[in-house]
Amino acid sequence: MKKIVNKTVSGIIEIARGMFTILKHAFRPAITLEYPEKKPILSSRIRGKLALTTNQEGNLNCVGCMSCTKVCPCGDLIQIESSKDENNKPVVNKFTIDIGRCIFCGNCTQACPKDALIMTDEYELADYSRESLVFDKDKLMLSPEESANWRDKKERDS
Amino acid sequence: MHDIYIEIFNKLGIPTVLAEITWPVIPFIFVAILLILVVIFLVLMERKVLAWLTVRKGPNRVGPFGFFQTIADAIKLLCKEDIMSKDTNKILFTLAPMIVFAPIMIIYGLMPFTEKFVAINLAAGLFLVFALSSITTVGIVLAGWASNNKYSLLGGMRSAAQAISYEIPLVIAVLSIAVLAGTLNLSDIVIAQAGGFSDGAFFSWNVFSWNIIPAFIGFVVFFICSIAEVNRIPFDLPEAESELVSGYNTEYSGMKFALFFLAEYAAMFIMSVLIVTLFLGGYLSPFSDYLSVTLFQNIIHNQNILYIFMHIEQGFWLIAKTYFVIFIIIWIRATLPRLRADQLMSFAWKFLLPLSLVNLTIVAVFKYFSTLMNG
Amino acid sequence: MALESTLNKEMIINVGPQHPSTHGVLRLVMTLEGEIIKDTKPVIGYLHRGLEKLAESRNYFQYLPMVDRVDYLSSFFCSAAFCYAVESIAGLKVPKRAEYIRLITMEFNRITSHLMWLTAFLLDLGATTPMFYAFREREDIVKLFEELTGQRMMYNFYTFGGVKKDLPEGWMTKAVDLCKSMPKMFDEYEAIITKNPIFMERTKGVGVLTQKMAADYAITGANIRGSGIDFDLRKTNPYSVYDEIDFKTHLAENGDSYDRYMVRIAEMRESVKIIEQALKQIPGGTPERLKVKSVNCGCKKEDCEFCGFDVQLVGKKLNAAVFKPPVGEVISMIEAPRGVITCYVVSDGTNKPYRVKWRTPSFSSVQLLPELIKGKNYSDLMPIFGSLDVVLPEVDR
Repeated sequence: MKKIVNKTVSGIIEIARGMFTILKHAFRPAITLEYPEKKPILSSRIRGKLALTTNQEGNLNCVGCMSCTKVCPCGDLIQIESSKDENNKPVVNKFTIDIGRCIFCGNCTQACPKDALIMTDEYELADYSRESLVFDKDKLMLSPEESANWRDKKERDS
Repeated sequence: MHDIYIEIFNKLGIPTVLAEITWPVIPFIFVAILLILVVIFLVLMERKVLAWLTVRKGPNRVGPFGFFQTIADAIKLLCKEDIMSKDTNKILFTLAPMIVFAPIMIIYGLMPFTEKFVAINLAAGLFLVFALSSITTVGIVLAGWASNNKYSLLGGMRSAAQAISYEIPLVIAVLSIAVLAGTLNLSDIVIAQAGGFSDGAFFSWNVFSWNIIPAFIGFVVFFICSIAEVNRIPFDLPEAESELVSGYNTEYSGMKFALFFLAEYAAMFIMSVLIVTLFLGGYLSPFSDYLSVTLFQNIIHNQNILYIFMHIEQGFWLIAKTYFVIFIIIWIRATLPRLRADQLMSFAWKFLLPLSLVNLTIVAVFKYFSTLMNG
Repeated sequence: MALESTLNKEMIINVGPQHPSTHGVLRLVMTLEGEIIKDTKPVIGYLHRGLEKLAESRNYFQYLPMVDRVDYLSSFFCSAAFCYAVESIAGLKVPKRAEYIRLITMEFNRITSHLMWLTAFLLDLGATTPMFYAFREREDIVKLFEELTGQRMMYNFYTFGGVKKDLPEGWMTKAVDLCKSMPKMFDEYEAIITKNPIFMERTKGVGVLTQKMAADYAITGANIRGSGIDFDLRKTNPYSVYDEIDFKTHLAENGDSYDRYMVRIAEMRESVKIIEQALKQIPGGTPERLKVKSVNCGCKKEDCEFCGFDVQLVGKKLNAAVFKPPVGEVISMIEAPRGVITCYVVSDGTNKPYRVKWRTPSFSSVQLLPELIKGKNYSDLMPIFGSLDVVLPEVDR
């Protein structure tokens, strides 16, 4: 009998303690981030959509060395076709990335010797078809200003 | 009211017989509207309170503060396809939500929302309330069985076991109210709680004559049992979404699911009203007199208007108390984990049943001495 | 006769593969009599991604991001296991600073993993609210990870011979602040849960894992410590820099679900202490200070305090295309939140591993399940299975 009473009393006390701990939270500000209206603040290291940087003249920094393809875990995700122009300088004719299959591991950007391939903070990549997620050179290319922006960011970070 | 109603029919040239037939239906139309309004508000309230307790914001997209979220959900449920799997018992499957829903709607008619706003004022109203609320269990068992789903079946069986064990302490707790009030009429039970402790200024407040004071243990037992009766955490074993994948209503969709949903929240509201009616003085104000009467009696001398004011206030008190009880139920839901089926049984039989008997004894002794003292 | 056969009827119930409390896609074929579990057969493999086979067609650097997917709730641990294995084959030395960064991230990861377990466990028991609180704290840690690695879940942060990047500026202050506020949060969970009579009823004496059973089934991690066996690789076989850190392992006696819960809560508190120590002891101190000092110093000596080997991030820069560890095989073991993760790597001297084998703790825990829940009520499945902390991708790989 004594045991039951003890158990009941301690049970009631503990439940009350739990309930008041929960009520305490009612007076704290909500942590909800109302997403489409308010966007999260991202760090500068965020690994988002891949992009190709350009130099001041608007040409690609990429030289077609294929370093990125060698470390990409997804096999043929990055496809590069390059040729040499009359000055024996490499020109990238085709640069396709299938963002739908990309796992955003960041291996390619780290392997890139020229900082030509970078990761932006763009993460809203949903689309209606798989085909539209295959990004070609024009879609991946950043403007010279944006490229400079990103280069600054990278330098500040490291 | 009755006469006016028939007069309107006569003026429109419709036979009186038709008026006489339709007259009893009218309270039920009011009840149905009330029920739907209450549920719509209740669902929103639950979501908002839960969000508030879990540092979230809750629904806030549809309408201001998400007021129309429930309505949007209801429309969605109405538009949904009514899926019935292959080997279900079609008749019982369709019947089950109705069996669950209909008794609760009748109970609404029995509740004294104010002094006069009682659709059916029966001498044995309290008895009928419990008779009807037991029927919903039949519907749940039926739903579980007819779904042809093992999870649903388990949920239905659990519901039956739970109802049997929890209804006994529930009814014994209510018995103490019958002892105190000396009647089974719900309106009379409320009126019996008026008057206060004595004639003094402070002690004549109605609070002191509410049934919760002599029958506090009964109140606790009744509160716990009513949570079990409406299948809410920590006693939501029939639905237990993490165990039985929402139990008896797993296979239901569309309007049939909506009926279950409606019934569940309506039952929660009605149980809270019942707790208020039986233990917390129903529509009575906690003070010695109605606030509106004390405030306006010197300004407004028309007795009819004062009477209307009083009714509104009575409704206000009932709703306020009810939502306070509902808030506590939601608060409990936010805190506690679920019990296991056998623990639930032993809790009911070994703990609540003796407790309710203790309560009955205390109340009986109290009643005996208070009648002695009052002569 | 007819009545008898009806009464003895057993019901076979299929829990999962899609069931709210199987933590992924586990299928349990259960034989119930009433609500008593007679027999259970776990069916696994719904989340099999062939991570072991994939390694054989990819070079070491290509495989590195995939390792994170072995157990998505404790990515750092899997990554560390693979890195330590490859490092010991290739004979790469890891700088102290990198080891400390690894340790800090791993311990933070242990807390996130345990918080995730706590939410799932309590959700299975029907308590919904602690989930939101635990996720709030988890979010804080995940934010730190995002700032450090650039990703919230699949970090791909460790590399052979170190880590990829240094701590960002201001990261350490944030981490210290978080370590200060976290024990208070754990107190709050405990106020809600630990002594709650219903929670105690549900978990005490339920799913008792005896010491013999635990040893027989090769259970590791918090599960075995809950049974009272003092087995913690961080203590018994210190990898990384755990030997420089002062910490306790927490044990319980009975081996029931409640004890496993208590051990995990205590482990989270201990992890906070480990992180606090590591943040104090990290060679080079804060990244801001280190940057300034190393520029000023510039001596380029091996044992320099500010620009020597110990404050580097990567011991030796490797080229992905030409990295070919010598022939050999090695096993590395890591004390992950769920137990010991073992990574076995065989190298044949090419740039692709010949074979990678993962031994994951959840795999053993799932095998234990039928034995633990035999003869119990169906409702006991949740406290037992929940407390074992099984993560299905880890089981299937």
